[in-house]
Amino acid sequence: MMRNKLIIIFSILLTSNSFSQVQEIDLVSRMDGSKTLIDGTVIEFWGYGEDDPNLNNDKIFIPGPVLRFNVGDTVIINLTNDSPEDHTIHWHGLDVDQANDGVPSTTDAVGSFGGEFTYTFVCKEPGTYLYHCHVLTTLHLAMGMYGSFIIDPEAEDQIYENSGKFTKEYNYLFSEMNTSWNLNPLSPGQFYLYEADYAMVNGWAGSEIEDKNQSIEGTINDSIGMRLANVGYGRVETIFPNDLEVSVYGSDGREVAEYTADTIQLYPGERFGVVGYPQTAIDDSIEVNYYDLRNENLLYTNYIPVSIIDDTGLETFSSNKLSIYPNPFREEIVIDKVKKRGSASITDLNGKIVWDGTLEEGENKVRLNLDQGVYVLTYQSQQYKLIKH
Amino acid sequence: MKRILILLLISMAFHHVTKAAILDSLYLIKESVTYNATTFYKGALSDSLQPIQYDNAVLTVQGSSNDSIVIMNMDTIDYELYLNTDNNQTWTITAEDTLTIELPLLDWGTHAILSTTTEGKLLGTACILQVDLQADHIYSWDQWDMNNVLSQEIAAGTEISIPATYRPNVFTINADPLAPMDTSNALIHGYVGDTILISVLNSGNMVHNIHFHGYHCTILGASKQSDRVGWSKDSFPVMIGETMTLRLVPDQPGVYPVHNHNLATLLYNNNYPSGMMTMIKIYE
Repeated sequence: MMRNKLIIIFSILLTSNSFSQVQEIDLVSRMDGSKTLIDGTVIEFWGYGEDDPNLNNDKIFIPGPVLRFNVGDTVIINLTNDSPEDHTIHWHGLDVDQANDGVPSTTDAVGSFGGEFTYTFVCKEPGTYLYHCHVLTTLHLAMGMYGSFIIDPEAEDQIYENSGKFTKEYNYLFSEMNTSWNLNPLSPGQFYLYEADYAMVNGWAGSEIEDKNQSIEGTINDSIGMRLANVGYGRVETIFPNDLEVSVYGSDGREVAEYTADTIQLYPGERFGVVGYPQTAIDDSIEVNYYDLRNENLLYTNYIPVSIIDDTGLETFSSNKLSIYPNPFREEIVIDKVKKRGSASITDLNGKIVWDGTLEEGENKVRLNLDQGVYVLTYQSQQYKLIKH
Repeated sequence: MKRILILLLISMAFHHVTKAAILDSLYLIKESVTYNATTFYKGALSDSLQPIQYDNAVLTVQGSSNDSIVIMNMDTIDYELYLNTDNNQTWTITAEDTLTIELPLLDWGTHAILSTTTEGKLLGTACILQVDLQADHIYSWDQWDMNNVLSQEIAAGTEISIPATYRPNVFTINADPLAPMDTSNALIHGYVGDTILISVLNSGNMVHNIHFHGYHCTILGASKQSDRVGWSKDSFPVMIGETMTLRLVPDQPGVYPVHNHNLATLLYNNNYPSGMMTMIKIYE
């Protein structure tokens, strides 16, 4: 293994130009991850982690670590499989050669209980990519074996060589989960009955998105670079705040003619590179809707808080956004982070009030006996979408 | 007077034949198909009855001429057909009848004849029209989805729509649920540097998508996503009833999968990989 690695590195050094660098990292794949969902359910997941004693050695995460390199870099990624099943890494969108493509039928799987494989390729085009296991992919990816892969251009603070500059950068990987598979991965049943019932932004859902520092914060002079990627099996719709003018510069690691968009639809495996330009102070959120492709049913909604301060007039405010979870809900919903006691109502899509009451400061638990569907919570002139499963 | 009338009719018939060359004769079928002990119904505008070809015909069309297609309806119900890029172009073919349809002048790219009749619409009855495509290699992929039990109800006329609880378990490329196999006509072969054009049709009942391993392709045409024409992509959707034209110029040799990235479609009889996956084989 070590001898092969030295040969690879030596060969790359001989062929690399003076700008490119050789970057080497060690990853581990495991099948013993545990995660607590926002409703308290503890699920099992499979995934990747950094195989480095100084960096959470051997721990895996959902999603896996963000892998980030510069254009022209040659990367050497050593995967050790510390799990009882074969795995691989497919470098989604990177157009690597067959030997490094991570598909068991055309290359080799990385064997269970300590198998090793070294992936080597050049980062050719700036942009956002994915990586995921390609062994029994329907199950392994759904179990959590995925992550983001970023190639930075030579131009600083840009997603592509010819795109708008950003002063703040956020990377959002959208994914979903069929929790019954994660609760019982050895007997998932018929794969065509896959039912996503939990959806995430960078592995977090509901109020976790804000709590885990995934919110966008800045001033109206900032330009907000966003890498958006969908590794789930359905359609993801991102709806931007009205006062955030969003320009799209590229998709799937390639530049496109710039255009503005208030909504972006991401189908499975797609990525987009955009920059948002605040037009005013913003206290809102990016609405992220997850749809089932079989029937276009809305499965889940997450919100990425956006707080843009107008520092030109030194006007500041703190976010008044509520935190609502779980959403979708079944019988009880928690309405949290209420800043001030006040009345609220919930209506169906025909405007019929199905609940009204008073929200106390802090956390409120509301039990609702409603039919399955979409409802709207109104509190202090702000509206929030609720989904009843 | 009678003689003049006969000559006039002969003249009109002759004029009709010379104006519109007949491209092909197709059979409109609705048949049960069995793969690996699972049976489903498939509709098709088929090239052959002996043996039955369940995949839809792919015709080469010159856009500058009003070519015709003869369609023999082998089913016991009437069918309404239409051109996916021009909803005003419709044709009705009655049960067990034969109809010659004259195509309008068509723009370069990929078009399709589809059906609005429930059985044809849901069971994927279609014909791909490749208009003026020129390349080293020209291929086509027709994506279709169905639930095998539901397909039998549709064929029997007891179900007339896709239910809200639709759970498809049959995913095909070119009517083949085993498209990754070497026997599939969905496989693509070529050499490094070749220009390969691929016509894509979604004749199914849900949005599908395509992910290329090894390469990006250029979207040259998309009947429902004109804003994406010219984009270089490795992952993209194909809307219901949409036709697309893709250009692939491979820059490296190898064997690479290409598949739907809604990974619940890569199955047949719960076996992976099956369904909407095929392979690209590029030689040096």
